[in-house]
Amino acid sequence: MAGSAGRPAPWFSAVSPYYGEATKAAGSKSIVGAILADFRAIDTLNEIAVFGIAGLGIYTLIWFAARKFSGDEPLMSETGVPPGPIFNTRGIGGPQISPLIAILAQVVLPLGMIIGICELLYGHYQPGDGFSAGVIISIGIGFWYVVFGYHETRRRLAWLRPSALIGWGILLAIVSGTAAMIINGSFFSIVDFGKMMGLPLPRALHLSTSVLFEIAIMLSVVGSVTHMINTLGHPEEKDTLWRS
Amino acid sequence: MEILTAFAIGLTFALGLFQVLRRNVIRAAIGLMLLTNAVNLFLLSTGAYTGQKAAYVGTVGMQSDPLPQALVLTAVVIGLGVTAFVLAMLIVIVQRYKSCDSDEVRGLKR
Repeated sequence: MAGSAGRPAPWFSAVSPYYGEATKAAGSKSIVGAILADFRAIDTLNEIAVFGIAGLGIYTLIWFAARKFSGDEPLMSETGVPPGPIFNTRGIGGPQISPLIAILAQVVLPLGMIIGICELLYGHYQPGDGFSAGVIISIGIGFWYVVFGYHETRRRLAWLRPSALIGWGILLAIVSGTAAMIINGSFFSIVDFGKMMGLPLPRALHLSTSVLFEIAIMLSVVGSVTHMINTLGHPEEKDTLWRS
Repeated sequence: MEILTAFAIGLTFALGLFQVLRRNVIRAAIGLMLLTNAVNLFLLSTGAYTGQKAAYVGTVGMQSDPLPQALVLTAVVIGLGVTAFVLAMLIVIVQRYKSCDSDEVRGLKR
């Protein structure tokens, strides 16, 4: 604690105690998580929209640039790098994948999904939210890309369609917010759908607008990060959603 | 500790600003990341004045201010998106102009 003489007197925020009280009234514990998912949810909706647009923008930019300039001149021929993918992703150690690292990758991705979903569902009582859940799952997916290479990962994870994930995420956020507006009169207000429909959910698990919103954040973050990994690795590959 | 934090954040910001003003576009991208993280750290440090306990309901003692943390959490995500987009633009610039010098990168269309 250097400079105690020149240290300013502690000041108190006028807004933060209000958020603390409102979090207690909303029935959750994490004040930061409640601010992000409940009280300032439209900011977070904008944030996931910006993040999704960043992923789609990278995809469009790289894919159109690669298509436009791959016809008349080879990519990066003067620098000695062969034309084709920028990063030659073939897995660790060439075509042969080490069994040890393959098993490790196959364990890490489901484990990461379980940890991510736990963080997402109980994020109102412990650290964690939809964004960290999405990033944990994306790290597992990125590990697969490093270990198995691009084509093998696309073949094994055929369900992973980044544009569709971004779209479903933002759609789920808007639909749950609108449903809360119809029921409660305010966009993204706190409505517990599980209690309302009488679903037999376990203790401390609520199917409320904030949990649905966290799921939406996770979906769009996973989609956007997967888009980034895909296009930065293989710019000439098109997303399977729009393949015709 | 506050002095040390302030100097570290200021040094990061200065390094980022210096790198942004370089002619090499890759160094400019690295400088942009440093600037983003310096600003995030500064905003986060403003919330630790009243206390350093985690901002949970029912925490005994002085809690930290939750509002800058929520703000920074959003800003980190936006910074990640911006960084990825800048890296994608770097790839396109290097492919089209075969150079990292920002003096060579001129004109919207070649």
